Amino acid sequence: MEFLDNLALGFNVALSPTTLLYCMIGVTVGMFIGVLPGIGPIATVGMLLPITFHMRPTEAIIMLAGIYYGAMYGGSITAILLKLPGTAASAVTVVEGYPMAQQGRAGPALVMTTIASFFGACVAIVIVAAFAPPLAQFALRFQSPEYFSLMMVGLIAAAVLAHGSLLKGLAMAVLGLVIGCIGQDRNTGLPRFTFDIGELYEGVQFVVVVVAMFGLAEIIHNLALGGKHEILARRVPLRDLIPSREDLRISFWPMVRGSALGAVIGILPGAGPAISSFASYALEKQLARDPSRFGKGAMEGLVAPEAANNADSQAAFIPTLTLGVPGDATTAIILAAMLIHGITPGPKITTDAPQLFWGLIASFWIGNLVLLVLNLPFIGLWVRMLSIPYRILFPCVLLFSCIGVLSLNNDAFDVYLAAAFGVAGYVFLKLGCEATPLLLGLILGPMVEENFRRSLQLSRGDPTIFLTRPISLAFILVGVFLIVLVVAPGLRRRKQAQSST
Amino acid sequence: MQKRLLNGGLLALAIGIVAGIGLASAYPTKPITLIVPFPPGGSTDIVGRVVADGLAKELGQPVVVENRGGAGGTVGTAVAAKATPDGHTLSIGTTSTHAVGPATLPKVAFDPVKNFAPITLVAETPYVLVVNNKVPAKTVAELIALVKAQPGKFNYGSAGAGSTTHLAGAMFAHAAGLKMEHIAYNGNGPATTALLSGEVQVLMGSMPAVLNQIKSGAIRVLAVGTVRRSPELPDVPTMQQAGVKGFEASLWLGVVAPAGTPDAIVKQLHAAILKAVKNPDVAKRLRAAGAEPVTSSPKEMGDQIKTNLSKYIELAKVIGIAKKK
Amino acid sequence: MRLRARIHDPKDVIAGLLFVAIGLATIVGASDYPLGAIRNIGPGYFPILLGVCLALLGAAVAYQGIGRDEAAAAGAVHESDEGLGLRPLIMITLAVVAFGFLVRPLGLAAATVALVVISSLAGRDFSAVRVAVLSVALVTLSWLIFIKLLGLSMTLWPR
Repeated sequence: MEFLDNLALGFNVALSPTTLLYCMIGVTVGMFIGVLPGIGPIATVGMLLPITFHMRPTEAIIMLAGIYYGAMYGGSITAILLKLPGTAASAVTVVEGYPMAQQGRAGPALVMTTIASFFGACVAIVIVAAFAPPLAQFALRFQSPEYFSLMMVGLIAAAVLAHGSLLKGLAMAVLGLVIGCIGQDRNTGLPRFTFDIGELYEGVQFVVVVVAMFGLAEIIHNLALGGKHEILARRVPLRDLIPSREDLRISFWPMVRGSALGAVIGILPGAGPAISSFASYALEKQLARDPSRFGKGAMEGLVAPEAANNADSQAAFIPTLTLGVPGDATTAIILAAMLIHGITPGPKITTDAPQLFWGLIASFWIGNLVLLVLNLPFIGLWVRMLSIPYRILFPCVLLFSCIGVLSLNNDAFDVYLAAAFGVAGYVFLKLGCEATPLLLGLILGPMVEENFRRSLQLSRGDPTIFLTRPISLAFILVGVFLIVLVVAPGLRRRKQAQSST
Repeated sequence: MQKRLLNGGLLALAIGIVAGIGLASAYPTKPITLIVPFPPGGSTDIVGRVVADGLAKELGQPVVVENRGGAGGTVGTAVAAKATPDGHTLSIGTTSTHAVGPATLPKVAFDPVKNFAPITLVAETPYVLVVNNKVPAKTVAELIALVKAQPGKFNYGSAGAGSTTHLAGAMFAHAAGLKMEHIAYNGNGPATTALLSGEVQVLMGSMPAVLNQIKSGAIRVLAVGTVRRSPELPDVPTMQQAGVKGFEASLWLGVVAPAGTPDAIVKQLHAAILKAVKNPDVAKRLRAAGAEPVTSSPKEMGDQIKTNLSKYIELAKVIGIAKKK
Repeated sequence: MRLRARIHDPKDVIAGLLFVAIGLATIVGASDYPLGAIRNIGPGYFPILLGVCLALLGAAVAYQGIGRDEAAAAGAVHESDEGLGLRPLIMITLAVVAFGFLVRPLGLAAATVALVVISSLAGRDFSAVRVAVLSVALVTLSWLIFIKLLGLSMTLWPR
């Protein structure tokens, strides 16, 4: 009953006119920011922070939060239409969304993305509202060995992500791991592979690689194909913008699974929404009856990650609010905003500032609803963007990508880095190697290494630490199971081939 | 004849005065850029933006914050060092950029003393000695005794090898003669989480990162690293008061200009920033970010940079993370 | 007909060799980094391990591209070669680099024009009118969005 009381309080706060207004502003601004490649919620929240100085705390936090998940949605739009993810978390959306757009199904893709995001938000809000404090405590049980085992499972899932040759996919994943080694080693301070370039000390930024290997490479690829075409040559009738009943039917369970997975991963401090979307994608591919559809526009592969990353970004507020520990970089800024406004996050926040807490939770739901309602009319507009002649479209996309990359650190070096990765991305594209496993390796690599070394440091050199801790052991078993799943069909096939000769 | 001389003299005087006023009021002639060598949203960035806001009001020209993150702040600082010294490009200098970074990183593209004209300090945040609640020590003395009884068993965390939290923690261990294992994390956030979860038991944390955890009782604070008690934690002794002689670990932040900036402009900026920081509104926002407003003269700040630099170079050698030339 | 080792899929061979090269480069590059002991693994351990894995995988990929039996080769998909796309590759890369080079000293306007002009050379047809109009439009649009609205620290004109 208390749960319902809390929600009632929350909605009361969130639905008040000024709060609602700021929520809508935040969500809309966030969405447009998300569309712009490279410029993510971090920069925006940082830049808009001073404006919030003169606002009431609850309104300020709700607006900043709105920017956060609004951007997540906006990133999906360009991911689907242009193979250019607007945010890191939208990288996975490209894999199924872009082929769907090329098949003329951009409309259903966009609509289902919106619905999936909303679904993810709904599930997350229930989980957060009902279980916030105990979940936060659970998050604290996740220490270095558990993070390592979890990330290892993620890496094994990378083998699943490759559509073509398994070997090439694995090689790309390992390459991603290698690129992730660039930078200053946190444990010893030794710079690795930095060639004395100061800008490489923090490593290669994920956003740069994503924008370059997907977006830039795709532009080069399209131009090589002729460049006179539009991405979508024919006019799309309104009817085709709406997903079919079949689309909705096959989406349901993937959305449920994605939301659950996203919510769980979101609670863990340090694991960002990109990981949820990759994990959810891998899960769906494993569970699908016909995995060969993946990579060619499989709806399950689109909606599950979308639900996951939205649920994740909302669940990430649990450690932020109840522990005062940011879930990822964007929540770190929101945390700073809270401190500036005099709000102290911590276990007592539900009693000290119930209006803020429950108001924020309720605003997630409302914000996502606003996104849903706001976007449905726009979808026709977005799809129509595809019929702009390519020779006019691509310089725009190119320019916005460059500006976005530049805005990360105001350093032209990042732009040069993007150019380099653009070349690499195109080369790999021509060679039939996919970028997605590389991206996964890039995200997970540093965390796998860091947590592995740290776990051994903590155990003073005892490798059984991964097996003696129950949660870690559980993940390792899952990982072993996954390996068996992947390898076993291959073994069986070889046995059959041998027995038939 | 005399009249002409007098007129000429008066005219010359008038021109002189007008030129003098013209020169002095020539600054600032366009918007000022304040380089914050850290990513947006961090505590340095917040301090930078608060100061920029206040300074803009004093100078009548917009002060635009430019984030240039990377390598503990040294990338952005290197850029600031090379800027035109006309007072229109300033940067935030901190213990990290002007002392710890140059002391521990193998290659830093600037000299913290020679390439900068310090203007004033604006804020100071102490490092605080915090422990996980399960650690049975309520004072610094108890902690020292506890660790000495079980050498090598306790872990202290940091935001990364060579970071200010690492050096502050190492400083404490060195000063108290303790043997603790250093566990590096990827930033202040994860280090604080690790303390919360008990993965590390001790942390010399930066105040903004741990303040609300202390206030909510999630972790226990034993001492502050500044020489004066912190107004935010008035009941907490300083490290020196707790018995650790000569201990001082704090993160200071200030505004610096590239070397060669004319003295008149430095003076003008100094006066303006002082006024801005003393404004109660600005002071309130700084405190909310965990930073205590302070001010100083340019010379005082320059001296502070020099002493800090040598202190951290010494410390880095002792711990063994000195630059390998 | 005997099975002959022919290169049936040059893409795999090239990709494989590329991986081997990068893997070896990684090993060489990391050879200076300390390996450490098990209770404190050094920064060299992981990169060298990865370099070895990459080189091995690369060799396997390259092997996959040669010596396939004829039956598989017959079924191998040979995509219609759209050509190497060297011109778009060079032009787009050049355009991005030019943008990065020009944007801070000369401002957004100059950098944008350079980007639009160079990248338009990547396409099949180049129309000076179209490029000019596009340049002006994009400079205006990006000024509006990025400088005015978002307040990114870029200047439109030279500093």
